[in-house]
Formats: sequence, structure tokens, C-alpha cells
Amino acid sequence: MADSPSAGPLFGARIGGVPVVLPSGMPLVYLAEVLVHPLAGAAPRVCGLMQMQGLPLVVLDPAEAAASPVARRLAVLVVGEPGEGAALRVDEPPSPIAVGGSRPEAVRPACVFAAALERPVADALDPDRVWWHVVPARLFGLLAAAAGTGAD
Amino acid sequence: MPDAARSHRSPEPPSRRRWLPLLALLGPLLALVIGVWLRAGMARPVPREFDALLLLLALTAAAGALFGLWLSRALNPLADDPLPGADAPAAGAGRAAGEVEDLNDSVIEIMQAVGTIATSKDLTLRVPITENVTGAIADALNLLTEETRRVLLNVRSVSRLVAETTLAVKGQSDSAGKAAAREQREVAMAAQELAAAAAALEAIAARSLAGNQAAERAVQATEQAMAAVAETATGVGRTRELIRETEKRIKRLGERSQEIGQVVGIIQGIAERTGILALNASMHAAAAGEAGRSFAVVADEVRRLSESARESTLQIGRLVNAIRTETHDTVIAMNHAIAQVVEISRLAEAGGQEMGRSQAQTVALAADVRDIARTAEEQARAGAALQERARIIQEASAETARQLSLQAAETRRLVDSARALLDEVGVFRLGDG
Repeated sequence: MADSPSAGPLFGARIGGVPVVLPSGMPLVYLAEVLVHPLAGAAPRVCGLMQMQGLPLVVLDPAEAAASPVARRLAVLVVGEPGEGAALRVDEPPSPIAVGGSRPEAVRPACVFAAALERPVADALDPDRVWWHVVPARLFGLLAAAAGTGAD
Repeated sequence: MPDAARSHRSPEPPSRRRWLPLLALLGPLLALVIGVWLRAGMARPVPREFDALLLLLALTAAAGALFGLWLSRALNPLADDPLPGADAPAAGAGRAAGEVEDLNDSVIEIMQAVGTIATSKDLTLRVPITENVTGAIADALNLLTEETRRVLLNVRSVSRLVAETTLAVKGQSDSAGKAAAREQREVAMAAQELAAAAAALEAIAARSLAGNQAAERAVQATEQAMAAVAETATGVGRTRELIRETEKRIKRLGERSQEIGQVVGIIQGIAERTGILALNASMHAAAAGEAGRSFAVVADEVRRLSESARESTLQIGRLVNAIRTETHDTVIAMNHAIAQVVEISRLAEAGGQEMGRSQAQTVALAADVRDIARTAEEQARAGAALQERARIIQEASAETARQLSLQAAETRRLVDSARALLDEVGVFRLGDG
């Protein structure tokens, strides 16, 4: 998710244990409790399907590899327009953040979507905290293609 | 002279003239007997000289009478001639002189014998009895002496008996005096002990009276305590009902708090949803770029409101939880209080029952104490009566001792008199009785 010069305030969220900067300029909707139906035969990182504005939406889980066999309510973040985007399971609600300079020395997290992380930036209020910009399409692709036993 | 003497002769018959000397002696002898009899009848001891004087007077009177008789014979030898007018004056004169001589000898002999009896006080001696006219006198003197000896023997015997008896009486009187003195001491001690017993009984009566009053006060105090216990039990019962009512209200308050908690939960949910909406609005505004800037301000305000509401609801929730916890603890404490009140009520009831039994026992005790007090008063009155009787006995005993002392003195005097009488009788030689 690259920064846009004309973008407004940034939002950050923790997905799969990794703090990432949510892409600006894209529709983002946070749903605290959405019913996710399991999808038989789906990839391991695919939690299931949810419904938004009458349209089905794939829910991806960056944290867990094994999908639940039963429907459950989860907190998700819908990235993109309904029918075009996908939903990510998040550890906590997104929050407005302020970022500082780049932190190239930051160690890239060992996660299944590490290839989707672009560059680390420091938190403006907590310099020790590092936020990672991410590319949504690459993140979705990595999660959808990830094996069931992939390292988190 | 003979004619004159004859002319003066008494016209009385000769037999009467012969008994005149005897009658002249009987007067002093009768005086002697009466004197001895009076002397024996005297209670007081008489001097020994009185007896001698009495005997001397009697003998002097008898001698005087005999001398008078002899003198009359000597001066008028024919005065008592039994044969006046005899024809042989010489023979008659000779015979008369012989008779006078014989009579003189007889009188002298009688006087000597009486003097010997008076001197020796030997009443066993006898006056010689002659054939002449003095023989009757001697016989009368001997009869008098014998009767006197017999009387004195009786007097001596009675005096000895009196002496022995008075000695015995004196011994008994001394013993009675000692017994009376001992009795007086015993009576005095008994009176003192009775006085002490009466004082003790009066003290017991007074203490019993005080005990009775204390018991009555205890009964009254117990009644008041029972009334207080009954009021306490009633108050405890009301308190228990009040606590139960309060417990119900607190439970209802807890239920209301729970309802408030539920409402707070709803409000909290609304605040969270509002926050999510504000978050999504903010993200939409951010995605809209410059066009969504003013909307982002509104969304941000909504987000702050939702956060404030959520914090408030959290705070309310904590308060409600605290109220529920306090209410729960209060209910538990009130349950404990109710249990304690129930226990207090039970103890008060048991205490009331115990006090009832104690009251009954105290009433019985008071009745016993009243009986003791009444009995002690009766005993005190009886003791006072006994004390009065002891005083009377003591006075009677003292009077008895005094009378016995007087009796002892009189007995001593009686002993002395008996001894004196024995001594007086002992001067006579009486021979064997």
C-alpha cells in the first residue's frame, strides 16, 4: 500500500500480528462482528464467505491457516468496493495513526505475506514502533495462494 | 403461955392441923417445878446461875416453912396434941419433948439431904423417910426429885435428839445453801445465755426481715427484667422484620442495578457501534480525499462522542458492578444480621424463661425467708418470755439463798442452844434412864 501525497489521515491496523498502514484512497470498512460462513475446499487462508450489501465477499485470515468448519462472527476489514475487494480478518479495529520517517533497518516479519510488505516507517508518537506499508493486491494474492502449512 | 397458946389454938380439927406443914412445903416445891418447867420451855439459853438460884430459892422456901413449923411446935408443944385434955401432963410433956426432938432431927436430916442434893445436883439421892410427920415431906421431896430426874432425863434425851437433829439440819442447810448458791450461779449463767440467745434471735429476725425485703426487691427486679426481656424480644422481632424488609429492598435495588447494567451494556454496544460507524466514516472521508475532509471532521467528532460514551458507559458499568457487589455483600451481611437477630431473639426468649423460673424460685425463697422471719420473731418473743422467767427464777433463787442463809444462822443458833441445854442438863446426876 503506497502512500498518496494527497491522501488524508492514515489508518493502521494489526493483521496476522503485523502492524500495517492501511492504504489510503481505497474504500475501507471495518465490521466488528460479521458472520463468516465456511467455504468447503477453500485455500487454508480463506476463512469463508461474508455478505456485504447483498454481495459475497471472500474473507482472508492472515493469522490462522486452518479455517473453522462452522460459521462464526469475526472482526474484518473490507478493502475495496463490495464485489471487487476482499475482507481481511484483523486483530483489532483500525485506528488513525501518524507516521514518521522510514525505518529501513527494521527486520521484516516472518509471515506468509511478508512479500507484500513494502517499507517500514516509524510511528510519529512512538519511534520504537514500526508500521509497514503493504500492497493490497499482493497481500490478497499471497494469502489466497498460501499453503495450509505455511509459516505465519 | 400454954393457956394463951391453947386459947389461940385453932379450932380446926387435928387431922387438918397435921397436914399444914406438908401444905407449907408444897408451895415452894410447886414453885420449883414451875420454874424448871418454864426454864425448859425457854427458847433462849439461860445462865446456869438462874437454875441454881431457882433451886436455892425453892429449897430456902421449903427450909423456911419447916423452920416455921418447928418453931411453932417448939413454942407450943401441945398445939397439935391429938389428945387435948389428957390427964397425965408430965408424961405428956416428956412425950412431947421426945417428939419435938425427933421432929427436929427429921427436919435437920431432910434439910441436910436437900442441901446435899442441891450441892451435888445428884438427883439419884433420896431424902430419908421417917416415921414422923416429916416422912410425908421426905416422901414428897423424893417424889419431886424423882419426877425432876425423870423430866431431866427426858429433857436430856430430847436435847440430844435435838442436838443430833439440828446438826443434821445444819448439814442439810449447809448443803442446801451450797446447792442454792450453785443453782443461783447456774440460773445466772442460764439467764446470760438466754439473753445471748434472745439477742441472737432478734438479730436473726432483723436479718431475716432484711432478707425478706431484699427478696421482695429481687422479685420486683426480676419482674422488671422479665418485662424488659419481653420488650427486648418484641423489639428484636420488629428489628428482624425491619431487616428482612430492608433486605428485600436491597435485593430489589440489586435487581435494579442489574437492569441498569443491562441498559449500560446496551448503551455501551451502541457506543461501540457508533465508534465503528465513526471509524468507517473517517476511513471513507480519508478515501474521499479533499472532498471528504469536512465529513472527516464530523466523523471524528462522532468518534470522540462514541469514545466518550463508551468510557462513560464503562465507568457506569464499573459503578453498577460496585453497587451490585456492595449490594450482594450487604445482603450477606444482613443475612448474618438476621441470623444474629434470630439468635438474640432465641436467647432473649430463653432468658425470659430462665427469668421466669428464677422469679418463681425467688418468690419461693421470699416465702421461706418470711417464714424464717416470722419464726425468728416468735422465737425472739419466746426467748424474751424465757428471759423474764429466768429473771424471776433468779430472784426466787436469790431469795431462797437468802432464806437458807438465815435458816443456817438460825440452825447454828439452834445447835448452840441444844448444846447449851445438854450442858445445863449435864450438871445433874441423873443415873441411867
